[in-house]
Amino acid sequence: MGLVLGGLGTRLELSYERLDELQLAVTTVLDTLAADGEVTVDAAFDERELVIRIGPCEAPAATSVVAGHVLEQLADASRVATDDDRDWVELTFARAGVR
Amino acid sequence: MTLAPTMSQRELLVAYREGGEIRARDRLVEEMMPLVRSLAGRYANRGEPFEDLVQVGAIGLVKALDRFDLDRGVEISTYAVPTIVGEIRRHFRDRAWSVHVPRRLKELSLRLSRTLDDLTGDLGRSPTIAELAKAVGAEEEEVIDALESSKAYSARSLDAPFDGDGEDDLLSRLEDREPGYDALERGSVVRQGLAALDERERRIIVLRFLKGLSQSEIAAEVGISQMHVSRLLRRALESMRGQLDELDGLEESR
Repeated sequence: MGLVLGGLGTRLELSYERLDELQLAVTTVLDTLAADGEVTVDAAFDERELVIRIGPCEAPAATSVVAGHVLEQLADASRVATDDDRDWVELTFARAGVR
Repeated sequence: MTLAPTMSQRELLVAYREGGEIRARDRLVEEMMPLVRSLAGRYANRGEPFEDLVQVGAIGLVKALDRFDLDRGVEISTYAVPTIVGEIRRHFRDRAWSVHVPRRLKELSLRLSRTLDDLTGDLGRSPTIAELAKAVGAEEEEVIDALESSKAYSARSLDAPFDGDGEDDLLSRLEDREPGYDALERGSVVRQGLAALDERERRIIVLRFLKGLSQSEIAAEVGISQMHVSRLLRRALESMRGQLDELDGLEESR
């Protein structure tokens, strides 16, 4: 996952620090959320931002409190989106020079 | 108490240990730093900055001064040498690569760590991967590979001094920002998670997630490289997660 995100971050010309925090945010979600079966990491970007969706998932209570606070700091926006009654974590990162 | 300039090392140590004279200890440390630098020099060029080794050696020296048996008929330096060397060796052991990483990636990773700090200073911002690749004369893919490999480098804390941003301070900041139930819940959970961390990890977490400092700003404040900050952040979050998972498990089994 780190290499994939590294390639993506390079293509989007993210700074080292931004890329590192993108990787840390995704790792935090993957490690924290209690996944129900297969987990999908979906990335979409335009000239302004990169949006990563991870799920479907269910969040255990205690760890998600800390993870939520961490994600607030690492990503420009983070939210839980519901799709087909399943939760997905959505992280938004502004691209270089836009933030 | 006046410390005469002619006092021997033994007399200084007696003044420190039996009279509580911190100035006597400081003078001993100052006098014995050439020994520390000499011992640190034996371990130079093994991938760790020389000044880091000197600092670690100084910690060993202070431990030796605290533990030396004044009734023993040996020189202080005779006792201090193995303690200083032990501290430096422990530093290397704690900072070992946790998985096998090819030598070329280790070397590139070390070069990148220095280049990253230099470029950040020169540019006034964090460099892109392309800029890093150009600076070290490597392909972008190699840089990504080396950065990823560097995360396998264990960076155990050296019990660095902790200047006030403690657990209680962190909790009070949370409570200031978010009064009420949410703060109570967060504070309680964060306190439980922080219990798994050592002082340096707690400090890094406070600086990044409560003070909102960037990794490069934390690196400058704590006096370590950005890549080291990145590794400490990862390890601290992992430790907090492990601690909270354990507590979740205990709750569920009740």
